[in-house]
Amino acid sequence: MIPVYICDDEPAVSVQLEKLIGDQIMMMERDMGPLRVVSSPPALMELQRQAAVPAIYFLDIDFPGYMSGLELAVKLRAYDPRGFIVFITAHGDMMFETFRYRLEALDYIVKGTPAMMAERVSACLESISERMMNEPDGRAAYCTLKVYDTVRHIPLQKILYLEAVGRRHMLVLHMDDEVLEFNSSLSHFEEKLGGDFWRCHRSFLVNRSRISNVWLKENVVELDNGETCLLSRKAKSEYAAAVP
Amino acid sequence: MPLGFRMTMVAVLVAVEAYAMFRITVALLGERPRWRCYLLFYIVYSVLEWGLALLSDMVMTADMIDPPSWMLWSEYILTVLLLCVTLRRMYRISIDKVFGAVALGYFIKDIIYDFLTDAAMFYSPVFDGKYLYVATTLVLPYCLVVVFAMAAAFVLNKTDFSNYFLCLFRGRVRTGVTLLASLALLTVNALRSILFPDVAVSFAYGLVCFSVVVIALFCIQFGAMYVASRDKVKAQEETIAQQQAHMELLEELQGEIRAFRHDFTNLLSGMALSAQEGDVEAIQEFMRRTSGYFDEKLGSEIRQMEGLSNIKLYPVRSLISTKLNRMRQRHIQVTLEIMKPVTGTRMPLEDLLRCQGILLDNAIEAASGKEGKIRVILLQDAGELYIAIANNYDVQPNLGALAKSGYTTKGKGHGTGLSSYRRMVSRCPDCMARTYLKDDFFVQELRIPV
Repeated sequence: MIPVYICDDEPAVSVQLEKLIGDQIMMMERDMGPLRVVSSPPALMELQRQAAVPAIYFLDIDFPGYMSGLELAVKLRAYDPRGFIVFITAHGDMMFETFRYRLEALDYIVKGTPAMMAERVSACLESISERMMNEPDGRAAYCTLKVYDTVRHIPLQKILYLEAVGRRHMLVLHMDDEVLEFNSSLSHFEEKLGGDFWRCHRSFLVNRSRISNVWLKENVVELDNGETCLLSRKAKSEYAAAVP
Repeated sequence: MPLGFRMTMVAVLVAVEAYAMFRITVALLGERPRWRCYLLFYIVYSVLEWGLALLSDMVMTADMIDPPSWMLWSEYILTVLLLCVTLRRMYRISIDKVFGAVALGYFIKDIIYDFLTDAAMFYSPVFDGKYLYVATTLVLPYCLVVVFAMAAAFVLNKTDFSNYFLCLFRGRVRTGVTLLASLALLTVNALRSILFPDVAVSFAYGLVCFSVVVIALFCIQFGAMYVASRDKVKAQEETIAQQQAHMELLEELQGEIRAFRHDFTNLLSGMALSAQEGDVEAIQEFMRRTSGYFDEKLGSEIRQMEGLSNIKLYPVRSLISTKLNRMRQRHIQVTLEIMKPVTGTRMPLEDLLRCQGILLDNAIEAASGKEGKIRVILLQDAGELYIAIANNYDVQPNLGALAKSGYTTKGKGHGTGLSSYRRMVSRCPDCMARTYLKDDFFVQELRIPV
């Protein structure tokens, strides 16, 4: 079960949404609940700490007198990096791309007629359950990565390899469909990730489960998506000793 | 004299010398002097001095008056290197600039020092007291060195000399010439002692050197002022271009408002008829249709202008508005979202501009030919500036190949943009770059600490 929160300061909207979402969960027999409604950001933050994560959040964009929806979402994200955030807004011209990229918000619902909102709610829930199905379950191994206020949990299977570039402790993390560059050291990751990763070169740390071939003659390690890493002489002798 | 007194004297003199050197160099680079940096340099420098003193004690025999020349040389080179490395570490300035500044700073300090010690030797009366002698020939000149160095630093800061000095490092050729000149400055003293060993260092010589330095500084200043004025003209031209782009946007908006007004009067007259007849349904239909109309017609332009006005860094605003103009010319649909004021980052402005330029150019090149879409998002929060630039594409880019340097879709000679982008990101501490594909968009994200 994944908890669902609604946070809106207008009682009319939250009552309406509660009914809509509750009905949707019931009708489609989704694995979601309990459904909770709060009217202020601090209350939501408190509730979030008490229950399980990841969770689904339906948030109003602006709370008069409180922090903005953006700040609230940043705080929620810090605690629940894998949660699903849906914004509720009165007008359609909000800066949604900002929310989508910065916070990885899922979608937004424009306040309007119940029929329109129901449609949007159902689409959101559908896409959430789809994503949950695709995502490896919580027990799978993750690599946590902290950059400023954001924490990311990266499933280990998605990682291809890590590469150190330059002398300035710059690491490049290669994943399926994503490349991440940040300041860190390879030895730090070698320690953190443990035996599932192989230091095949001074500046490469490769995911063992993603290796498809080791070309001893060419001194390269080939990964299952066709990318290659360098193979050092030391790692080669290690490899030769391990694989008779 | 007791050993303790001598040791303290040397420690103090080394500190004073190091401070003079440090102060001038930092002023040349246009940075604020930081105590931590100075302390670090002082510690390393005094270790070096003591080590060399010990070494010369071991090497020197009784009949030698001066330590061997290789020793002086190594002291020279090591000091310069140490100061270079310390400054580079603490201020994160590229090595060529630091080297130039250190060479010049060292030279100036040397000249001041030579000049002052000679003056002290020349003018100080002969005393019989040892302490008094030390005071006049060592302590006084060293103290004056600091005073002069502070004065020089003050003048350099007041005249913004660092801007002119850094102008000398624009472009490869200029950097090369400057570095050669600084190398010559560094070795001029040593060369002189090798080439003309019998020319004694005198007060007059010091004076000549001093005036040469002053003249050279003036020359640099004037040369650089010329360059700076040219830069200023260029910057003004850029501002004008930006203003023009802005004007065009406004004109476009005005045209659309005119069209809108025309439409609207027509629509209203139609509705007035329905209202007279009491046709509620028609009125409702009209309301439904027109509520989104205004937004649809003018929303994107107004939002773009709002976004642009949120950028408080004028060069960045100018860059983005010119790029937006280019996108409009190519009929690419742009979404620009800048919710909060963008005021600046820890990344140097030139790097920030180049990074954004590269990302935007790449997005423009790669955006789909038929229905190009680009999203530009800037968001400055408490701790960071978040930049995301997303474009749709015709052919899905290969991220693995993209990460290798020199990747391009345009053939040989291109593809340097991304690698220099990567270099700039790695140069900025705590920056994070992310490249990914999401919902048929190719997204480049950059987070820079503020």
